[in-house]
Amino acid sequence: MKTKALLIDLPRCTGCRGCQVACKQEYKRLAEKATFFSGPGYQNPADLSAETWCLVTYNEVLVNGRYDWVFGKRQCMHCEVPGCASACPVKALEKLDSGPVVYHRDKCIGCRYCMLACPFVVPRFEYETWNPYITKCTMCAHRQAAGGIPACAKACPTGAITFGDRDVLIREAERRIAGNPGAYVHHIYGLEEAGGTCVLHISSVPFEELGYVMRVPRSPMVAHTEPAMKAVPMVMFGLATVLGASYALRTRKERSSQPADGGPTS
Amino acid sequence: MRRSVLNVRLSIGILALAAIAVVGIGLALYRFVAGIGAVSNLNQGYPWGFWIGADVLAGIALAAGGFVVAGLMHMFGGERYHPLVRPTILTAFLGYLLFVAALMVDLGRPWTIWHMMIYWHHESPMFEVGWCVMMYTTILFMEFLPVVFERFKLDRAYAIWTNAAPWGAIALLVLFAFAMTQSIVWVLAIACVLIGFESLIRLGIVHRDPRMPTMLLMAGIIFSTLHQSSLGSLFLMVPHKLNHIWYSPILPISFFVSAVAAGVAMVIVESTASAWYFGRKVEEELLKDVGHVLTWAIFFTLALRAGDLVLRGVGTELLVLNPQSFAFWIEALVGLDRRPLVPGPGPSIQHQSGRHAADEDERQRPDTVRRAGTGVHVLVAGPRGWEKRCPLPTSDRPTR
Repeated sequence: MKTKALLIDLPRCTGCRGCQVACKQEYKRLAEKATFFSGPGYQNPADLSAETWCLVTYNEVLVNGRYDWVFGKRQCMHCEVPGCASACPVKALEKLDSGPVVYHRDKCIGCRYCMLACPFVVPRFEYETWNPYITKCTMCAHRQAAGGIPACAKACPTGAITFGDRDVLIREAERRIAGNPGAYVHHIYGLEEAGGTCVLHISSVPFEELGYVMRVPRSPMVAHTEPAMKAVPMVMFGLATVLGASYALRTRKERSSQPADGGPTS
Repeated sequence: MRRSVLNVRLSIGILALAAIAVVGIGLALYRFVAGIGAVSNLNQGYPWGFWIGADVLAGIALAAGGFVVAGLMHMFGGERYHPLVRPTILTAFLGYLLFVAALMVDLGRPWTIWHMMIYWHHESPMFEVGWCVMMYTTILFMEFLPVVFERFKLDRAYAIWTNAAPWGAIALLVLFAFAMTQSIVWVLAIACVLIGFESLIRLGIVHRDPRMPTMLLMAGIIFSTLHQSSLGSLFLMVPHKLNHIWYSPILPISFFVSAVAAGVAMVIVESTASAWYFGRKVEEELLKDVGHVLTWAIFFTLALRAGDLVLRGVGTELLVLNPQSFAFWIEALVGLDRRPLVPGPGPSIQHQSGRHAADEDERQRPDTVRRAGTGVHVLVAGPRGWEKRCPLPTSDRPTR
């Protein structure tokens, strides 16, 4: 199966937040009480939360000498090799072959290691309930399975969100950048970040000005823990051998002074 | 006379501790009504806090005395340390039980903790941590049982235990190896070594220790080593969030080394404290030797830490004044009480026994602070840019 992806063409976004509403509706997430705040981003609500998995961010950016609204999008990036899934001790987070990273809530123990491991700071935890789960965007895996497309892509009126095969969308993103090099920065966010993601962003202004996380390793997160995990059986084998040998050497004198039948001592 | 003074002092202390405990237990229970958000300041950007830093990272290092004494000293010929084995095993066992209890408050859904046993994911450092805790706590329980058998004169049960415990330990080790690798080759290799060693003991070719099956101690050392280091592995996953003063590929090794130092220090603290409490004589000669080991352990921890910082080229950054380097120096100066190193090779155990506990308590700080440091710094250094996305009313307008 080909890996599906979303292409977010930020210059096409008008900030209507249709995707945000469609997402809430699809998953029946509660509305949030929001307060006005100044500073970078006038979006509502301020950030992704346990109830908001898809968020259009409003950024006031200096473009050609005047301030302009530039929109960004926050949601799960659906990494090719997701840190959250590598971190989860019980495989509650799973990468599907078709692209989405989905969450099996019945398995989750609530350790929140996925939140730590995610380089994009996406998974959210339900802090306000006694029986909390992790929540995040699922790239509408259930809609995809039924032959549909993600709710946000379906709702987008300007074609800012395109759903399709990842390799096709990468070529499309390159084509759009090459076709209008003045209108885009030459960076497909998600092509290499964290080893590649299934949500690709292209933008007219540098991504850091839209509050995107820039300190993301280019390698999959699991590459950092793999050497340590590979060493576990070696440590076991080595310790067992060294400790056994050392003990045998140390006690070789005591052995000769005791009966050699080896039965239980009484 | 001394006893009564002690009692008066303790009753005040106990009252204070009881008050803290009542508040703490109340909050812990309230967490199961209103959620973790109601009793902590954790949020979406900082999912782990001081509870994890203090309990999981620092607290577990304090329980490391169990494997250091029962392990290294027993294995490498410290017969004279034998009087320390039982107290340290008990301390470690209690420490692990407390740790597990505290973890239950921090886990989102602690009643599903057993999922780790059925949903295996051997890529995850957290999976290794969880399994090490389960396995090592079981081993510690088995190591503790002889005390129960002796107290209640259960000779028959003791005999059965002596025979069965090594096989139990082997079973746990092999199961663990399978869970961590899911590779038949590794499982067979490890099983061969373990069963071979146990057979040599049974055949009388290798000495059989009548006090405690050697296999049990070996299992304890292996699980504890892996557990202490896996806590470091946890943070290998966050190169993007942990400041590079703390992030290092050798985190698992430095966690292990610092746990050894903290464990040794803890042995001195708890044997001094228990001698004081029970009105016994402090085993000064013995503790002096432990102090020697401690000196080397701390020296090695320091050397490893310094070497790591220099080789990664982070050394000069510690001279720049920013919150991270400031935190580092606090950690280094508060934590690394170098007193054991100052008098040279000899440990500086003072001879007024009352001073021991406080003195040693300071010595063990380096490693616990270090670990709390690593844990907390994921949070302090934090996911960079978090403030930007979760704006405060005072944050600046974007300017250029």
